[in-house]
Amino acid sequence: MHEILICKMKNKVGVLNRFTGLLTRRNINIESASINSTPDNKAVVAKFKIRIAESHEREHLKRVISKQIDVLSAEWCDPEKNKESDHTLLSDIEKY
Amino acid sequence: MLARREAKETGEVQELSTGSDVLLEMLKQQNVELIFGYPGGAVLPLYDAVYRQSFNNILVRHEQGAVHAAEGYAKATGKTGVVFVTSGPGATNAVTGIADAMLDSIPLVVFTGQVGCDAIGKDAFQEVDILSMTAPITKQNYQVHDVNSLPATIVEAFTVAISGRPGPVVIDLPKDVASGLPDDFESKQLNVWKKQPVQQKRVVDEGMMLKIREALFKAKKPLILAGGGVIAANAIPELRRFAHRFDLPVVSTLISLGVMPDTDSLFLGMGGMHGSYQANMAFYECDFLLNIGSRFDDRLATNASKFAPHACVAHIDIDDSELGKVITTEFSVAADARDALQWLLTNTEKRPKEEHNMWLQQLNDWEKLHPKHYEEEMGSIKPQAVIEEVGKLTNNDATIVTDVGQHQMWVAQHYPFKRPHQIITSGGLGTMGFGLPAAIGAKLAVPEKEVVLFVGDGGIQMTVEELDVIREYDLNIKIVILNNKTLGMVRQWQDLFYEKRRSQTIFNGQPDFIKLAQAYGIKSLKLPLLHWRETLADVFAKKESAVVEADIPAFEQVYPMIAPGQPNQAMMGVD
Ligand SMILES: Cc1ncc(C[n+]2csc(CCOP(=O)(O)OP(=O)(O)O)c2C)c(N)n1
Repeated sequence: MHEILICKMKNKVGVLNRFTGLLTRRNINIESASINSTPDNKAVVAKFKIRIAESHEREHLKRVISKQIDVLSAEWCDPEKNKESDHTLLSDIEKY
Repeated sequence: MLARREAKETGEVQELSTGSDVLLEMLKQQNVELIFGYPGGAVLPLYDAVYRQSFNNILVRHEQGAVHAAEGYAKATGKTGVVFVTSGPGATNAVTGIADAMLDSIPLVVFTGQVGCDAIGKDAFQEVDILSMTAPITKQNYQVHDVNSLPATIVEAFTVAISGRPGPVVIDLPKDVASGLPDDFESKQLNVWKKQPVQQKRVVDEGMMLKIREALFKAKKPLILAGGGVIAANAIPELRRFAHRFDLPVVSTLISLGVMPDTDSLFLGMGGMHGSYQANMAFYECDFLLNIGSRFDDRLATNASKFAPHACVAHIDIDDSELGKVITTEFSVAADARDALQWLLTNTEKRPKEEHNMWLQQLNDWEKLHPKHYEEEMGSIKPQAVIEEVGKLTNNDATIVTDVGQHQMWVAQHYPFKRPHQIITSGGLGTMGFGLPAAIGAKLAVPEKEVVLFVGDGGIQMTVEELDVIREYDLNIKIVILNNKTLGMVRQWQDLFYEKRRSQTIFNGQPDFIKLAQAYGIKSLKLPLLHWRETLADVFAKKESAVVEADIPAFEQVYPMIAPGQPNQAMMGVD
């Protein structure tokens, strides 16, 4: 199932590297992504569209991501229930 | 080189502190008394400061040794171990040790040298991207680009390493930052950083704890699995009190051996692949399992879906990503082991002492049915016997370090551990070569303790160069090489699961370990077949290092054994 993961992370070098490593290690592909800094530039909010089958794996992944020192929060949002964020992701991509 | 500057008004030459001086100052503030390291081009400024400040650096002979020694130091004390290595090959040599520390939750701060900021990304001499390499094997890593941010980074690194679930942190230090001049670091200003950021503590979830309490009191066959988290949280007295108040049997993991004394009637021994019969049967039979601070590693829960099939499982761990990761649990609480145990002690005070006589009787019967044992053989020295003898000679109180393999499991089974921080072994990564340097770190950490290393003939050759450190610092470490002339543990698997095709596991000749130790200036001897106990006693009577080689049977097996993927009750070697 496609899922959208929304992460708020510190706006600094290397955070994405750590983050994507956690996905790579679990053989999870990122199908689309959008990243923006917050208005104060201190954090970034990143949305990732990924495929993950099992619900317990989803929870585990969220916790593993959340415990990273530079991750401020991580939440799943169901693309069915949250068409808007899915759409935002895709429309972001269409711009390029 | 110490930076110098002419004062504008007086023309007087002032000596200025560099980033490296600031770094050492910060280490002192973190109560770091010694570091383990190895110099090189990128850390010349750092080692210059070490020289000028006479900082206590233990010069290892290989960077992997530095990290394992720091791990040994950290494991023996619970304090954070510190490492300095140079860029490029120095940093990559440290990687195995960092991974080892990550898997066993050992607090380390590893400083890796780096080429100057301008050269980064240009394939400069000895440049590697150590941040990317260590991202998955560190709790956090940093590259410092501004000397003025060094103090804050160091304080954060030490806080991250020791707080919550401990682990390794890397600070990559470009050479120009190490030799750079900070704006104005008077010691007064550095004091600001003495204030540690307040560690956020997890609040114990009372609702969940109440449920655990209820399930515990309903249980007829309760069992505690106490993992490394209990030791990291300093929760030994609480665990022991709680177990005894409610008559709860306890199983340990490999790295938590010592949470209960081996002699305690409630202690069932280590569980898992080479655990005791009663411990593994207890997993199978229990109706309530309380796991405190263990991660249900696959060497413990050898088949996750068949693990503790009759039990309601509760899991308490400081790291909430461990909860539900391997085993589906009814109740899970993200909390410090000590806080949770204290909660349980306080909130069960009025409850009368519980007894589980039938259950304990059953466990006892299992132990009698298959006690730990080995066959004595005429004409050979049994490794288990050597380990038990060392137990007697050290009053069961030595700090025991092992390498990885069969000997490691025999030590876990046969040395009667009685206190926390007593076993120092590579659990999660199973790193051959860990033992010798880790023993050095342990001895430096607890010089008052007898430190004994048990090591195989394979593993000793992986970090044998560190014998030179033992000689140089005149460390009193007893090294027992259990020589079976094979890569025993792999050979055991080949014999059991690959129809005895012993591919590449029998050494075709070996160095003379006695002469090798002598070359390093360390007393050494081979145990004679006759009167080996007396010879061993003589060695332990002296307060000096010794290498003792015991020729043990080549094809001895470690039993019990659960084949990988089999459930815990399916033990081989117990019929
Ligand atoms: C660095 C490393 N390489 C390979 C292994 C795989 N391995 C596990 S145990 C073992 C054999 C160890 O032999 P030895 O040191 O002689 O100890 P023994 O098992 O005979 O007691 C090997 C090769 C490992 N754990 N670590």
